[in-house]
Amino acid sequence: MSNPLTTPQVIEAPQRLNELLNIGHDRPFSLLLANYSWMLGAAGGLVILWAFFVWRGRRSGAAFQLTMPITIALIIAGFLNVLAEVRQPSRLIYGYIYGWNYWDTAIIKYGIILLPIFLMLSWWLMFQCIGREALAKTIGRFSSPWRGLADFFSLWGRRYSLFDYPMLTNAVLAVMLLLGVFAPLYSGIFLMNEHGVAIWNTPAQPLIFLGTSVAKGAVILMLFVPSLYHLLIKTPRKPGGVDRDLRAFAICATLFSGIIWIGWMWWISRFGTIEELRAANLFMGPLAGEIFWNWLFIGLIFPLAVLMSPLCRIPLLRYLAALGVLWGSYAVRVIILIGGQALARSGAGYLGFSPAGEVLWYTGFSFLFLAGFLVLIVLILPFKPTRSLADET
Amino acid sequence: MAKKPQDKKTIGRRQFMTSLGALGAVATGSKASKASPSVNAGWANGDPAYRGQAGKRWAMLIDLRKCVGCQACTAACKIENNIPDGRFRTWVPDVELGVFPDTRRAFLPRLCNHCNRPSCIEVCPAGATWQREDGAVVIDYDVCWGCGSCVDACPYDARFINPVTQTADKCTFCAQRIDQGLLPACVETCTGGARQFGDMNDPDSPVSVALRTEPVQVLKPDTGNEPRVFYIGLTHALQNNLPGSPTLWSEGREAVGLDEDSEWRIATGEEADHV
Repeated sequence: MSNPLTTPQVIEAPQRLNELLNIGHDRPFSLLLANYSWMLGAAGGLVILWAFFVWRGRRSGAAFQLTMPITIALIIAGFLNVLAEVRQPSRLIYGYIYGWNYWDTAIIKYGIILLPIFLMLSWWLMFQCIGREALAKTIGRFSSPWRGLADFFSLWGRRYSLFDYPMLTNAVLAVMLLLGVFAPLYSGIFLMNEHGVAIWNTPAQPLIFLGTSVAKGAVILMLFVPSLYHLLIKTPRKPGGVDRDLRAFAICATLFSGIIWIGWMWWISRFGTIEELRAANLFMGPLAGEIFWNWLFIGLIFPLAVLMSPLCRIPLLRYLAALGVLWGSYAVRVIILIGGQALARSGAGYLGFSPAGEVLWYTGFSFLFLAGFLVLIVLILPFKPTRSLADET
Repeated sequence: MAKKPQDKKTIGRRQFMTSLGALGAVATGSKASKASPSVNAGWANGDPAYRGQAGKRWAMLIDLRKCVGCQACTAACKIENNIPDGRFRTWVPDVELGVFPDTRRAFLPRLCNHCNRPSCIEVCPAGATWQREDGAVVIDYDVCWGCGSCVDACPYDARFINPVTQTADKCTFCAQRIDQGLLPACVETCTGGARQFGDMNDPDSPVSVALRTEPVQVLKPDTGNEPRVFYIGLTHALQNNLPGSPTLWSEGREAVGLDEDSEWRIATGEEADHV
């Protein structure tokens, strides 16, 4: 084999050696990691865009009101996957107490602190986005004990409005922006710190996770939120048109993710170590078809072709492109997960990857929970019908 | 590390304050010494099972010229440490080198390398794994929450999730034995005398002598982990991840010219066992 440091190449699987007794321990991460990475990433992407638009003065409409309920549902559903992935979830408390010697390398420690803060702030902001008047009107109808309970859960939101205080609003938006960036980066940095898997030791994947998350947030706000608003809250008219800012965000973020991916693959083929080349061999060999169709075509090429062209005016294609962005974002996470874990580090060969039934059950449950919890919140809380996001543009 | 029932972890006031101090250190940006995992209860209490033997630096030397691949070490380890089926703290891969007919077999005993710079410890969010003063990297099974971070952080595949305890698990150099002055089970059982165990700080220990007099290698030196399991006779082909045909991935098999009948043809001699 020629020197990979001087010869650009993607290595063929060397055929000189074969291992007779190949012991490879089971890899610890499953599809559940891709699930929570996708869900927390979507939550982060949504909040980044929400904070940006609120800062720009958009303080009404579907996107303003529904971002936080979706974010909350995504964070909780994502956290369910974490609980299912961890073998001893009752011991998560130890993360707050022990192991602070490695505060700079154990990214999970920040996750267990920042994600609950993210959830609590989103919960608070959900009621702030509903508005003081709507809350007061609804809660005022309750009898005394129920009113106290409603006040507690809404954090007394009917008595004040965050948005009356510009300085505080900007501070909260800045915090939400930081948390929104953290949530998509979290799982990428987590994988990046896994020293034993060479293909993961790169800043490329946190950037891809961030880019795909912003793209997800943009298409959710652009298409699905107005539709949800219309379906659940019976807005006066059907959502139509496309928000140009969100479309620009979706295009830029998708392009960014694609460029990082292609640059990463080029970097590996040009400068990769042997172990990275073996992962690239997997990407460009057995997994090439899955990567091309699920990530490059459905997740990048098709959405970009629709969003960047007049085809975007056709509602069906628009929704398909949005679904493509969501699917591609999930696929790239699964691909990176498999690419790292399929290499047997104790010997030759690749490990097979087939999700266990339990993992599929948790996956299905968490996505159903996401949908159900979201519908429940939206139906219970007094969201006030206002203009759809498309009307605002 | 196997712990006795009376070692059950409780969080006392002193320890809680220590934890607060650690949080304060984080807040102020200072970094606690990695040599003293002060937030670990066992360490803080001076439990020798946690702290290890001060002044020693345990290491293992494996002479591949003497290994006969009998798997006695594998069996001894499983019995000593009660390791479940399908998981191994130490094992001996049986490797065929070369292309038929110019081939030879090699055995490569594997275990945790108890690295000087262990990449598994620094990713643990719970402080459940640490390096003792004598260099042994150990796990507190009462604290580990089984997130799997350390399993993928180890470049040697030395860690696994124990399906019984539902925590990370790995070789501890048989800490329970070496603390009693005994050798690790694998060393004591090695039929060819291929495994040697000793204190690197003692110039007369077998390991120190061999390190001075024999050409020794470590696995995957490029990782920067600085393993403390040394090998004599470790060829370049064995030193890093063994490259090989993707034998377990069906599509990958086809990509390198194998198909579902390959094993039959290999068994009947129609085809060499290495594509």
